[in-house]
Amino acid sequence: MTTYLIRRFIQGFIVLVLATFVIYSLLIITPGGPRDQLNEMSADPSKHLSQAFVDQMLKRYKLDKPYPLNYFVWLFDPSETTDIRGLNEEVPKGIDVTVLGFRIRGSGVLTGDFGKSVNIAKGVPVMEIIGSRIGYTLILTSSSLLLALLIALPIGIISAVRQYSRLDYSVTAFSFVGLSMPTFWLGLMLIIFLGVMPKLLHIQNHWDWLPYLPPGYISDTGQDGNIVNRLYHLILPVTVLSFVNIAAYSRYVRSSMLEVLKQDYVRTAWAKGLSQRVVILRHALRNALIPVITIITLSLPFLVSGAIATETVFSYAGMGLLYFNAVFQVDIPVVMGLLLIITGVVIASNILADALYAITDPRIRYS
Amino acid sequence: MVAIAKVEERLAPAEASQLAVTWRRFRRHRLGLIGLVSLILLVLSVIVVPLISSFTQEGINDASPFLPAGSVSVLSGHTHWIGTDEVGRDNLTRLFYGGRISLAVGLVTTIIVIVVGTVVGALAGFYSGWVDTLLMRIVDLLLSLPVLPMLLILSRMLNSSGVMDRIFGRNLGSVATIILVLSLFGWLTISRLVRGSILSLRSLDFVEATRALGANSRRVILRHLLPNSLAPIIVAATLAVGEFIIYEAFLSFLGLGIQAPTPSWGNLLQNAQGYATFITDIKGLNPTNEIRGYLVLFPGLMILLTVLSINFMGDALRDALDPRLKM
Repeated sequence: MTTYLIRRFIQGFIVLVLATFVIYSLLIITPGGPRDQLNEMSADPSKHLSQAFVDQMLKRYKLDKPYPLNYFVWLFDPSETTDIRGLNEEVPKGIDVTVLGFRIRGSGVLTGDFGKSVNIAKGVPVMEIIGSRIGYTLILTSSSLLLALLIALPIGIISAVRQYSRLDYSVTAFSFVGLSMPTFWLGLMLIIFLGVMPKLLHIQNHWDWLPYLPPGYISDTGQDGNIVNRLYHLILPVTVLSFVNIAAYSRYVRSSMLEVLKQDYVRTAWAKGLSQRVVILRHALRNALIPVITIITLSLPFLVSGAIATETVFSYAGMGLLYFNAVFQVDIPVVMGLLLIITGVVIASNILADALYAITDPRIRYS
Repeated sequence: MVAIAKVEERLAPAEASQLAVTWRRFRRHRLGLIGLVSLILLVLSVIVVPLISSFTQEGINDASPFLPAGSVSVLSGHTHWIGTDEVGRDNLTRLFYGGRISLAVGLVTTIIVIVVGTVVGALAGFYSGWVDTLLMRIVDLLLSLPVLPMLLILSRMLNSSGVMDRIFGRNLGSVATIILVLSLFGWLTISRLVRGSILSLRSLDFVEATRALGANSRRVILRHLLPNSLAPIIVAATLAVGEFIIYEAFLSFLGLGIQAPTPSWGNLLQNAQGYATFITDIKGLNPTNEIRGYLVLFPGLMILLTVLSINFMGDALRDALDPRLKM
């Protein structure tokens, strides 16, 4: 098991390197990126750009190196050891260590330096931007995941125990609708019918008794001061995300439970005269949860990466919206920083899911 | 070769009966039948409605902007059943034109994905060895990437580079782009399914028997292994159509998919968002301060209806083709 995990981690690392290389190469040639912006600026005679400035910019955005080399400079750049803070104050960045007599100096992703934003927030370090967003995303995704599990588990269990009952049929119908639903459209509809329309009635007809919900818009502009206000703004996005998750999880729980309930040892438990509660909760559920654990582990990346659809519809200032904006404006350092984190979490949670599977189910052996 | 075919013919059960059995099982699935019928109706309507419509999809200034549902066009005297959009185009006509594009993207992508996935999966499963290792490493690499973030990057890049516009023309460029982008990540699951199924079939006696009769690899793969692994491919492909339609809608909604003036359900929603979710005139988008929910309602309902029908059908197909298959 240990050797298996070590091998998986090494494979994961290789995948991460290959993936970031491919993505970086794609982004470099995407039109509208820093190179295009520089070309545009230097072609404009009214801007009076000196060649020295253009060269400096090319170097800052790591565009001065030929094609495959710029990726490695992104990883580790021995030539760039200082950072300009404020106007002209030079501060050291990256690492400067001596190992076995060799002095290693440089910056880059390998030293924990992800660079600075190019377009979204010019000059702000990538990690600072991500740090300011990740809290919002974690609140949104973890609360909706938790809510979804709390609702989906009992629903799934009951509809499996009462298979083909009216309740079972309505749960199945509900989960089909949930799985076929375009999330962003559900968000739009909720904004219109629970947010904007009631508010309009307030304004036009003075229906002051009619409650309405804010359509998201948690941003870092400072309007989200107190906790009540924050929770209030979370209602709609959490509803949308939970709805979709409930649909998926309840279906998994149901089918996994059905599978287990058919097995001989459950029949034995019934035959021994155990109560329904004991048979279902203690005997069946425990085994039925094994595949469900895997599904939950595999949805861990969603906690960090956020829900791109929901966040963009609700203008919710989390990782998903940040990612969308960064891609749209070709802010390479930000996109790369986010992708590195997201892909890393995806790979790690795949490994974790396999490990948990083996731990919870002793019949599984990895060699 | 003729001899082999003759022997096989005598040994194999008639193919029509397999189809009949599947259809009989499918028919018993009420939701699946509903899905099939509504999908046929949807496909027919997106083909027919634009043909018989009194309005054209680019019909700018056919009528005043934002006419309410059911109002009659002053110019032509025809009815706008669900009103007009911000430049006076008929919403219903554009809704069904958009449906053509959305459904076509779903179908064409699925066909590409089936072909690529089947070829890769069959090669990997049949030849094993280094071919298998190489192909499956590529599949593993791509599968460990987060899909939606990758789709965003790829479509952002391809759309603004204008490569596809140059090849397919301005109107179809963005359509071709999104098909390409969705295909790049779509074939992975199918290739895994095919590989797994062929691996398990390869060592069975009937394959050995076919080989003993003198059939070559190509014949074994095409006539024996693939037909026997069709069931999971068909089910996965059916469900994939719905998935692609949702992805297309979302990418177009973000402005990274089908580009205006070509309508699709996704970019109809993108367009409608500005007129339906802002009361006050934040971006100069909604000049008359009115909420036009119907602009958002219909494209989304069409997506939901289509994908729901497809999912019902896929579920029924799974039961009909192979009762042992699970979700």
